[in-house]
Amino acid sequence: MHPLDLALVAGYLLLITAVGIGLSRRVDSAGDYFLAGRSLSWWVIGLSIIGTNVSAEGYLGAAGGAFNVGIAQANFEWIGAIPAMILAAFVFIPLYWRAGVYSIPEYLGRRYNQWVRLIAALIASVFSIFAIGVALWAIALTLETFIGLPKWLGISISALVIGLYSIAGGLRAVAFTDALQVCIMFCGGLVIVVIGLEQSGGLAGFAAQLTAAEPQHLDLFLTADHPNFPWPGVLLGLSIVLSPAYWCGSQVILQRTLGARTEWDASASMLLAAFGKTLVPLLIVFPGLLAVVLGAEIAYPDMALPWVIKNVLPPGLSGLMFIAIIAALQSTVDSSLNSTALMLTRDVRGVLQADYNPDNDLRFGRWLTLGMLLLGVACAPITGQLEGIYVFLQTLLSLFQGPMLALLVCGAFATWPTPRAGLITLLVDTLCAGVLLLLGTNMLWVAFLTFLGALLLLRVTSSFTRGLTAEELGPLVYGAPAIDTAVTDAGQPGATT
Amino acid sequence: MVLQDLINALFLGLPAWVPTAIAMTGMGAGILTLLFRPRGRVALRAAAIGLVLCQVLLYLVFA
Repeated sequence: MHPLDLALVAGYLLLITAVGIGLSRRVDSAGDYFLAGRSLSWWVIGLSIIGTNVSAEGYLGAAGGAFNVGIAQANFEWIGAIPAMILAAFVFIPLYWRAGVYSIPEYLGRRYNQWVRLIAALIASVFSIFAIGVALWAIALTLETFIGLPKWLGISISALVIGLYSIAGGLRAVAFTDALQVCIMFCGGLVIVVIGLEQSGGLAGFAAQLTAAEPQHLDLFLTADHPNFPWPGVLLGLSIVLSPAYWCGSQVILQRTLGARTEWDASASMLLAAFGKTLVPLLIVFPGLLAVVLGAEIAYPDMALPWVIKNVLPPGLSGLMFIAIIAALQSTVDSSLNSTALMLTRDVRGVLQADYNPDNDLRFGRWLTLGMLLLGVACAPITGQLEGIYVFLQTLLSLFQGPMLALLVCGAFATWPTPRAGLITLLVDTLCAGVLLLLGTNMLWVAFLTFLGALLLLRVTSSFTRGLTAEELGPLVYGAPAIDTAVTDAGQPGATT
Repeated sequence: MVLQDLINALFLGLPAWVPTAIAMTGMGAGILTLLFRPRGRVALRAAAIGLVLCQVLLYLVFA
């Protein structure tokens, strides 16, 4: 690696650590740590959402997917995100805000029962730990490709930097460092686009070479029998189930919107993130296509982006792009750490511990953040055994996205779903999803089928179980009589009036 | 082919950069509305319309 690149990497790591630790001075309570004292403005949250999402879906994994299947990979950024983000901005974020909750499991707990809250929090936490492991592994992979750093050392350095500011600064440090990381990411990505197009003879030359090398790579919709991205699965499973479940129900994504200073900031942040998301394929799908055009010979698809950086960019610029990848992945790890710590502190501990005292949330949350980070480090090598990071993450998600979305949608718009029906639906449907996956069903179909199954099961079981009273439903359902919902800072879960 | 014919009919055979430019304009207008008309419901709605317009046109270009 060129000395200039090394200097850029070292400078970035110092900058991020300094910014993160600088912001930790304003953390005095659990509300400050988990929701930034409800002080974040819309542009910070919007940028932070993009950073968290891009890396969550896998900077390297998406480029690898594009190398494999072409521009169809962009469906995850467009039809598989934008409509759901608009839905979140106008429907679900205002609902969570008015309910005054800290987390999505807390909303589910109040709308259904505490068991639903506990299971939702545990499932999301397990997924988050895997996501942390995947991101740390991806960072290690990148470090090894560039500077030959052993994977264990790459993971350790990344964990140390992220741990310093995440544990000290909480959501505020996470959101601001995310925003900074996204700016770096976009700068680095645009450099690849410009230089890549220049090397391949402009946009027309690029398209011609790509079509010659892989004729299907410019098709947004692939055949119905495609093993990974069948078009009916993309439309039904991805855009109707997986995407809304993620954008309207993911704690990692939505936690920062709950830390907004006003409801308007929360909604506007999601729309800003959607604008950014529209441009994201340019940054993470294009490099995969460029690797095809330039005839990259790589061991496995996830190496497409590192290959492009190493072989296309000159010294200095390759360092910038290298930082962009690290930044993108770090923003996943820090966001996952903070949201998982919140769910385990309030949604798991709050339900299981009889003498739960919210005054200890700050100290407990910080220790948990450290614990999650260490667990993520331990999980990282496992992900190295899997063929594609991206597919692995999405497969895990599809297990419980169907039932979770059904619970959220029905819970938000109808008064008939009952607490016990919610619990039965979540358990039975997640089990069905696991069976379908074991039988080899495509993950997009699993998501769609389990969503339909959950709707049916919820309706049927609700008809013979007891529902909540009109007063209990109050701010949790659209159309229910409005009641005062002033937010307590660090009170008991659910105590928001 | 039917879709391609539809796109051609919609844009009177204009090159692909025309709808792309319209899409980008919709996006830009949405962001500017958020920046200069803060706090209002109108700004959110305008931004959402910009996003939807942008998506529809992007899919028409790449489908």
